[in-house]
Amino acid sequence: MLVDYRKRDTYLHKTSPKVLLLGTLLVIVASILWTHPLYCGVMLGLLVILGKVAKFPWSQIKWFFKIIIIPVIFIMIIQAFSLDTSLLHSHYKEVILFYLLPGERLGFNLGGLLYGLAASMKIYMVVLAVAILGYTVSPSDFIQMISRLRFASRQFVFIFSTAWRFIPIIQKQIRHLLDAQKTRGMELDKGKLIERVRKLIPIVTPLLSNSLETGDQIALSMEARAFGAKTKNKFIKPMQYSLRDRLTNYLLLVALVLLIYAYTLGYGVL
Amino acid sequence: MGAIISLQDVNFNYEKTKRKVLKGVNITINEGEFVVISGPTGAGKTTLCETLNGVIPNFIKGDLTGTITVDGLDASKTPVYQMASKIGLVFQDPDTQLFGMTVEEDLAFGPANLGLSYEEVMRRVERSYTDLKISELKDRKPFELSGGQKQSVSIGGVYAMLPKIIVFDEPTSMLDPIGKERVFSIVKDINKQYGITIVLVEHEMSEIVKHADKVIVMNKGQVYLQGSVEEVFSQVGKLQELGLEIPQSIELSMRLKEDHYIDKALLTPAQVIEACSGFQPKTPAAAAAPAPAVKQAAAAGDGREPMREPIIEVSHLRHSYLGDHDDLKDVNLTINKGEFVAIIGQNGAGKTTLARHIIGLLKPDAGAITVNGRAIADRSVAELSREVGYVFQNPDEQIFTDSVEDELRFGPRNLNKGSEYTDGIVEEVLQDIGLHKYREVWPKYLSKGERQRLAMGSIITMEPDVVIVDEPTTGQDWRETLWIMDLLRKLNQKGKTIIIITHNMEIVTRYCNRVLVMSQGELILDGTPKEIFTRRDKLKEAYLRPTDITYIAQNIAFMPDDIISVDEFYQVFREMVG
Repeated sequence: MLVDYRKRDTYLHKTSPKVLLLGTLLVIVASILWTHPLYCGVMLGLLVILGKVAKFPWSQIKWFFKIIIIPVIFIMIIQAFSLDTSLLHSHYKEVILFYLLPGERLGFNLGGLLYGLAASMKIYMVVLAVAILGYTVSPSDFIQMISRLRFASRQFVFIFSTAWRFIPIIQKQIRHLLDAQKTRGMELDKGKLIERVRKLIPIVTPLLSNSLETGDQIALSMEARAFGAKTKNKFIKPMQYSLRDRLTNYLLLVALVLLIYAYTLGYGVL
Repeated sequence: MGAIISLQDVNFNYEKTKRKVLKGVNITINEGEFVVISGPTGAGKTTLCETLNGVIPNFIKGDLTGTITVDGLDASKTPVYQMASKIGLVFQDPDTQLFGMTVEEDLAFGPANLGLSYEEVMRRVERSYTDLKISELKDRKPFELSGGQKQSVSIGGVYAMLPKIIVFDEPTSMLDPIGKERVFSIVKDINKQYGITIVLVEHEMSEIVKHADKVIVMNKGQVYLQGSVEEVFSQVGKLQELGLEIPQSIELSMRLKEDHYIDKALLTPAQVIEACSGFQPKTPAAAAAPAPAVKQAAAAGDGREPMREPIIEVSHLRHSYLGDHDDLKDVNLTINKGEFVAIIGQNGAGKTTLARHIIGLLKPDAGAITVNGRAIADRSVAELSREVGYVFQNPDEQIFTDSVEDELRFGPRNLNKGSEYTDGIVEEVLQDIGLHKYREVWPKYLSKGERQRLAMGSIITMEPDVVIVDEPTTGQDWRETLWIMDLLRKLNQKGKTIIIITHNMEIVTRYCNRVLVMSQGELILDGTPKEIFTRRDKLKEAYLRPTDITYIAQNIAFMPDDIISVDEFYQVFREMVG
């Protein structure tokens, strides 16, 4: 997750994870269907408002938005020059703002630019929606949701939650291994790219062997706590789902259906 | 109460090996007892623990003979999950025993595995919170907790399965003193208040003596000694032969008994204080006079005064990891060539942060550090490694080659030392670290203590002027601890400056001539061990305690406050009392 979950007392934090997941799904469907920047802009605006309601830590995600700004601009420019405008329905496809090459060649198409703008906004939409979801739903609630799925055996859920929990531990081990190599005189930041990659190879063996040992120890601890004793786990924490959550869910479902129907009528399409 | 655990003529060797790890073990443990198992590394203690709940031979394969009965069940034939509701097992590393995304989930993990209903699981979870006094951790994420808190949650997770017996395999070896105290307190409570039978594997003998009903000492797979605490610890010679630590209170009381000051050996500091306080100094003048000059036993280094030539200078050092508070606050200090320095303080005090700045792994937010008179700000860690070596706490994060010899060669090769030079230094260090017989061995096959020596050796071959060692003795038995410290002393005698980060106050008093005490990012005390351990107020502020012998001396009215060894105490005591 881009932003870690924080327990807070906001409207979104108090909303059932099922509702928040459905809301995120709605944004994803919109991002697949819509090509009009106005619609995408409105959705993005709504997400920003929701983020403010959830007291989202914008500073923690700023770095990501900064990183993707260049590719986003690139997308817009490429679309402006190269998009097959027959895909568009609006009159903007007729508008050429300027030609890059003499002889009216390589035109900068307004329709293409707007299409590229919509595509860029969709990236931000999805990233923001998922980030807000991760910030407002605790990992344990995620796990609980997955464990309710029919295909999810207890082992599958356990693997998922253990992997989630051990990512920071593995990251810490990698950092320590790299630090240890530096203290042994290894200049990891110098040399050609291929040399620098070669210098990283030595950490693979201790990382693997340490991870295997950790895995072994975890298995032993699990065994000692009777993991696998019963195939059916009756311990499923009741998930919060109030009347308000239920109504919100119905509204979101209606919105999803309307979104798809409106799309078939040409709404949201450039 | 009758026997709840019985081992009769138990033998075990791991799969595809012939060496017996357990040989003819006969042990009986009664219900409600607090039994401690001790012994040198490789004695078979962990293996023994793993036979009690059926992990051996059901999960870890091997050849097991004899009878192991735990609460009426044959542990070798009963499935582990069935044993789990009778006997729980808590391991060393808390990170590999936490399974939930929250503390509550973690406590629920075991009971949930038994197929219990949500209500029953939560009832047991609540009981764990209450009985182990860990309610304040309820909504926390397990991986954000301190070591002591994590281990408390691990114990809670096992306790929630309502076993009659809990086995602890070195539960405090990775913890700081506060963490250790927290865990020992919980263990003591669940035994005394709730009647749970405890089997505890531990090296820290001074804690054992306060709580155990029975002690079993193992050596080379066999039961070497067993009996009450008094019976076992009265055999000091045999314990010393095994290289086990003798608590200072017991060592002192044995000497007092030999010279007929007391009738019987005493176990705890409190008992020794009470006995010694009953004596009167020869004359009131003797009590009022300054303590006679004593030869400081086991002087740090070889008693030489270190040179007053700065090698490391830290000036107004400030650092913050997250930006919300300072992890190091305006630290100023000078370390001179040839000093043997200990940096002590509780976890989070800033010890490792300071050390990592000195070797260049961290850059300060403010302030400066010089090594050998040159600023380190623009120097890479690799470049600085020629002058300052750093041995990590976990040797497995430092060693990675295919053989012991290759490991020692790695550093000098990176520093372009030349093959002839490298050959020479590697041979020398192989002898110094006692691994010359294992030069071709894959390091993973070495014991933890041997790997720690190898990690140190890999830095020593680089011949830095300063060697910093982070927790050199964590998880080591006493013999290995002394081995490692003697190695550092030899280096110091050759002129190297040694800095250790440690929680072990006894090795500080035995080896170091200077102590830096850190608390909440600040350097609050700086002096010799004698100077430091008299500052009880400051030590308390840093959540530190002096060694048992210092504590004993400080609580006897006529004894000086700055006693730091048993020899010193005894000499002064005899002078005072006659």
